[in-house]
Amino acid sequence: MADNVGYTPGTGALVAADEIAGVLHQRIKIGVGADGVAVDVSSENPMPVDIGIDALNPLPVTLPDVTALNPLPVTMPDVTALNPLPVSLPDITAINPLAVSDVTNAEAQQSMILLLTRMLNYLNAPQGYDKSLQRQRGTVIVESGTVTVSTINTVTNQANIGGIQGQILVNGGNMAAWQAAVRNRIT
Amino acid sequence: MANNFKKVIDRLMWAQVAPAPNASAAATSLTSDLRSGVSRNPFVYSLVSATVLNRFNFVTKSWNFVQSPALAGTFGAGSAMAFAPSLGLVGTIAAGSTTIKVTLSTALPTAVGLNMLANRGGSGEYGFKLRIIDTVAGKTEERYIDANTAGTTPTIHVISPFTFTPSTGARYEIIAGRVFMLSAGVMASNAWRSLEIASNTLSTGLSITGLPATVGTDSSIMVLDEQYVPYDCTPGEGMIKGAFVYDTGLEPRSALTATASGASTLTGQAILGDAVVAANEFRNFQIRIVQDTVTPAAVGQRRVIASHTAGPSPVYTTGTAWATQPSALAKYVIELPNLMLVRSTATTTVYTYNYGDAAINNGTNNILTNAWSTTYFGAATVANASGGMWAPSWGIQPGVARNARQSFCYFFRGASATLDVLDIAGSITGTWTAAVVYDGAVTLTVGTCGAYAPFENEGRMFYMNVYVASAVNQIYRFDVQNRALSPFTPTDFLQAGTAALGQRMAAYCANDGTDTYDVILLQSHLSAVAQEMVVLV
Repeated sequence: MADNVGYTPGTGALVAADEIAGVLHQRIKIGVGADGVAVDVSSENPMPVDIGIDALNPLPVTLPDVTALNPLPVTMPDVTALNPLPVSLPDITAINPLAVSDVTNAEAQQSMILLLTRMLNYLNAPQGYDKSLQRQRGTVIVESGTVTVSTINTVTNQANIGGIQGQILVNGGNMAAWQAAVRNRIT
Repeated sequence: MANNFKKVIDRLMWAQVAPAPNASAAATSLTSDLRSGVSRNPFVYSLVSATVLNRFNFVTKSWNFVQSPALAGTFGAGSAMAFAPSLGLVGTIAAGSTTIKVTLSTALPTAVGLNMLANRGGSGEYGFKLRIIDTVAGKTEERYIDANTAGTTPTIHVISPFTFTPSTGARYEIIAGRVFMLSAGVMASNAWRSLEIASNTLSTGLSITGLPATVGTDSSIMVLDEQYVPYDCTPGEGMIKGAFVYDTGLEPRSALTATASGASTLTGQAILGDAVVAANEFRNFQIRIVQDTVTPAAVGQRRVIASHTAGPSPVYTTGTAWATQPSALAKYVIELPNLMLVRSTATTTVYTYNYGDAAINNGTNNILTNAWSTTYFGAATVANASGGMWAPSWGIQPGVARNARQSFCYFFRGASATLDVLDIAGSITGTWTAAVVYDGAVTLTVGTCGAYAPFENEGRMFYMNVYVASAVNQIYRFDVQNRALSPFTPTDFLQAGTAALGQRMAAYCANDGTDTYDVILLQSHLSAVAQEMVVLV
């Protein structure tokens, strides 16, 4: 079938038109599609439009009222602590960290240094660390298991040994040894 | 032989006793009675501060607080103490004596309680010893007190009868002893005090004239008491055991027998006894007449020997003439002169104190009772320093060669290994020999202390704690007869801490029948831990 439709004047057929200043302007219905296809334009089948905006030619947008003090209100109702905004920085790795170069204020730089220092100090000397001994100190309750201690230099205030007063045990041992070593030599 | 200790096989060891009430600290000190018989006081005294005096009962091994000595001055470096057995309580007796009781006429300085003098606190040991010097009977006898009435002039019963009835006006001496305490800092009245232990009398206003104006650094006091005798003699017998038994009490005592006398002389034995003395071996010692039934009024006289010839029949010349010339058959003893020698305050001076009740005169120098002299004995060649201390040798018996003598008073100079010697008989003011050679020299450091134990080992051993913080081997003993310093059994309790000067050692005698043992008490450095050593070898 040919592409063109013939016009047949007479009664019984109407052509949509709009009268403007005594002249009828013909109304038309738009259909889009590739060669051999014509689909009526609708919300489901919109008309392709190229307005020349791309990454290199962005759409110029001016929001004169949006400033640092009056930022654009953004609401993201679904973003919560439990459902954070997924952020992916695929190029940021341990070898290629995020460069931070916006801190130009000296006070801010000092604060950052202090913060980093405190973080490092905390890592080096966490809670319970005795700087004088350079060792971790703590009162430990061993609930179960075996404790192996390689070296004990000094044990102080050992009040009891096996539930018996330590002094009694020490003196008792001392006296028993004295009895054997000295007293028995005197007849 | 009661002691079956096998050398090399057996081993000595320190035994812990009850801890002291106070930890040792800088300038704290111990002292004890060095008498060898059972008459020795059964306590070691511990001066902790100007207000704390403790004692350790070495029979029951227990401590208690005695009283505040209320020392003036500033207690600290230089404070020291010493025990002197003789001449604490002296006087005369009243009428009414029998052979087993006397009543004092001269009042005691403090009232005593009923039977208080019959127990020295040693858990069942005898009471204090009463000596009666009777110029009518011409005798001197000592007895243990068995009972007494209360008050300042008690009637005193003795455990065994005198061989005579003490006459009215006879002299009494209660040989209990006094603890002398020296404070430090600027000297003031009561910076030097004594506590008489039978009546618990704290002295007031003992002389400080002649002491340094300010006592500082380390001090060491050596007591030369007539009751202190060689290892093989009994208190009251002096340095040479005679053959004549002049006292037949619980502890028989012997004396030498004179062969002649003069206004200022007494001649000794021709054989045995003092027939072997070297010339001037006992210069600056005293002669005491203990019995003279021919001239009874001569008994009880004490005179310092100014010089004497060698034996046999040595002629002793006294510093002052006899008040009553003894007979040619008088019985006498040669004893230490009842003096204290103090080294202190980084000086070379020897501060000599007369704690007796009569002046002491060697014919050249005189010291009144309760007085100090800085010239009676000559100055040392070098000042004393921290860790310095006296080590007497009166407990030995000199050999035939007389190389070692009872008159040798060793002095470890302190802060070095140097040992000096004062021979109190070397000249009328004594003779110092500096830096004598001895074996095993060890540098004495701050905190070093020592104690002479003259009861066993032939009276030769002076025990020392040469303090080195945390070192295992800190104990030594010095042979005062043979001049050798050797390491001795270390303590199990390791001593540590920043060195603090002080006298933490004391010695006393254990009597087991006729056997005697050296016993050493060591209060650990900066600690209340106390340890005792019974020396068996």
